Amino acid sequence: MASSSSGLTFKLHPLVIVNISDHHTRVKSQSQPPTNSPAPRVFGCVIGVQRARTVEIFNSFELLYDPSTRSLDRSFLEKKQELYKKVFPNFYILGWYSTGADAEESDMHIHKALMDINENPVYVILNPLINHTQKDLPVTIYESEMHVIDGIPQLIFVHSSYTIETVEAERISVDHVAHLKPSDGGSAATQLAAHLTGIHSAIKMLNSKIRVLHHYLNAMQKGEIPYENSLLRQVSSLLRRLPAIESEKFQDEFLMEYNDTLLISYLAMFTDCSSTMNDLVDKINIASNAELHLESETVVNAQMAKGGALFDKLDHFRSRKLDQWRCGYGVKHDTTSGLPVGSSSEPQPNLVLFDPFLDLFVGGRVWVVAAASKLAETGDGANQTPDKSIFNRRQFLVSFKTIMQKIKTS
Amino acid sequence: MDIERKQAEHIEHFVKQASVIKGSPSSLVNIIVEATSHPSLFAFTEILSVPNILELQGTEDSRYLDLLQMFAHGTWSVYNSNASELPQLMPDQVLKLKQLTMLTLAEANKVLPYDVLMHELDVVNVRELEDFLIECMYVGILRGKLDQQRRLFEVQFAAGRDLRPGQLGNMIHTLSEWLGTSDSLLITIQEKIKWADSMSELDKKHKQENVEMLEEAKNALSLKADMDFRGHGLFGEPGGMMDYEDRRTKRRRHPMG
Repeated sequence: MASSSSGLTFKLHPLVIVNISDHHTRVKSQSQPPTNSPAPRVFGCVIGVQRARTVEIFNSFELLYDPSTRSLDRSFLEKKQELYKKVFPNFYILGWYSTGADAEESDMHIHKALMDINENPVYVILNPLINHTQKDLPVTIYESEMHVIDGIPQLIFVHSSYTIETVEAERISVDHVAHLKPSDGGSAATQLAAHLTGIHSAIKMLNSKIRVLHHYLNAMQKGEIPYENSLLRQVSSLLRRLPAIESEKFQDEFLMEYNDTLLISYLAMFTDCSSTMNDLVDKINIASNAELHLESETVVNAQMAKGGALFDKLDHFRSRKLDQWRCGYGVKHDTTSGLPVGSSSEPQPNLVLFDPFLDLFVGGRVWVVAAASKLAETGDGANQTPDKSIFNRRQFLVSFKTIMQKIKTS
Repeated sequence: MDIERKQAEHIEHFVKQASVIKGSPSSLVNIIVEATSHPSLFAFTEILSVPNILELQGTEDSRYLDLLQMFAHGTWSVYNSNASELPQLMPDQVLKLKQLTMLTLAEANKVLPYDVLMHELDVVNVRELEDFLIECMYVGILRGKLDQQRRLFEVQFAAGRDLRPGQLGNMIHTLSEWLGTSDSLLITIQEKIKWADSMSELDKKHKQENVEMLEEAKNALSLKADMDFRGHGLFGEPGGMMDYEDRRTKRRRHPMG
């Protein structure tokens, strides 16, 4: 198809594209069988404004297509047109749309039918087949022109170029749809990769623009281009805004946020570990208790009670330490004594809180198991203690002492 | 960059005027004076390069040429030190020169303490200084934040002054460094993306291995349990289980007490 020579400039709004694709998707998903290929073609009307040489297509609506007569349902079109006129008095029917790969001969009939509404309708085609190699939108706009072919004057479709014009609301929705993919990705790695890819392309654009400026200034310096003072002034004021990220305040805030995220993830992982440990110890308790012979129930109960009390103390200690950390951390923000600004990104001072904490937890729980194993050993000599070598009694008495000391001093 | 747009017309106007007038130094002088007192004009290189103006060099009115050059490149303190050689300034011109001084100061630092500003601009109190800065912001040559508590002025944007000959080289150097930084940043981002992908791969493999080990352990244990069961018989196990349940409930009750 030749290119248009009518000199009209076309502006297409994204709303039209979204409408057409939505229409196509609905019809395709509702038709049975759904895996039928090729998908049925859908048709509709586009409306908009025509000012002088600019044709701006704002909106569109669907039309019924009658395959038998190969024409569009006229009465429906007129009814719809009336309705739209009430809401948008400025919009006229500018043409029609359909889906498919390319314009066909039968389309000319429809085109001519519409010529009584608009003397020069436009024909918008959306290609629903997704082609990953193609970078542009699969939307083409055709106009009709009278050409003389083989001595017969005929109307043929000629290709026209168009630009995309957006209203603020359209920009927001398109932006939203474009960013929708990462939440589908699932795993954290794909989300991170998607986010980083976005940043990468943005910086790449910035990079290319800086390169252009650089080249231009070089040429100016060598004398190939005459000095343009206004531009030079603008560039100098721009360069003065660099460096944008080096200031001390930025470093402070950045490190604080970084430390916050690290600590939160550490805490979460930590709570997870302790709950797993809890389950493990319960299981060991079950396993070890199942082999115990009941000697004196009261003795066992007393030991278990002590263990329970110890658990409570540990839980209490843990929650107190958490609160301390939370409040203390807030204080540390202001004094900036706890956060190593600029030196390293590891939250060193606050890590000290968690290490004895871990010892306590592990030590405390294991002590109960040790108590259980002790009972098993003193109780029935004939009972074989399974592989409890990991629960060395002496180690536990030592760690038990340190644990009680720490609880006393906290 | 709106200030450039606003200036463009005025620059053109003055350049045209200056090129039209020939052989009349006094009117050229008038033009210079007009240009330097005009409230929205901050760029003088174009006017400086008009040949008629340059002819003033060497005549008795060369002081005005120097004045124009001062407005293009110099500051208030430079003017004060050379006040004898340069003509008297009207209040408008004084204001403009001080504004240009601000631009030069903003070139060097992004954070300007009030004391430095007051010293450079010969302003005695903070109120006057702040009024002056607010004036500059309304004209459009400056954008920034006034921090009265810390007595600072943080510059976010300052319009460009006329370029001195050596500045172009510096600008190109800065631009090339900026280019280098963004290039290395792009490479770092790509590496991070690869790292994230490889870490997720490792994680998946690790989980897979864990699941396999668990399956193996289960199978081994079930075999062993079968053997044990047949070996020991019903040795106290049902009883043991019952006792365990009692003990569990009792253990749970005691911590409450």
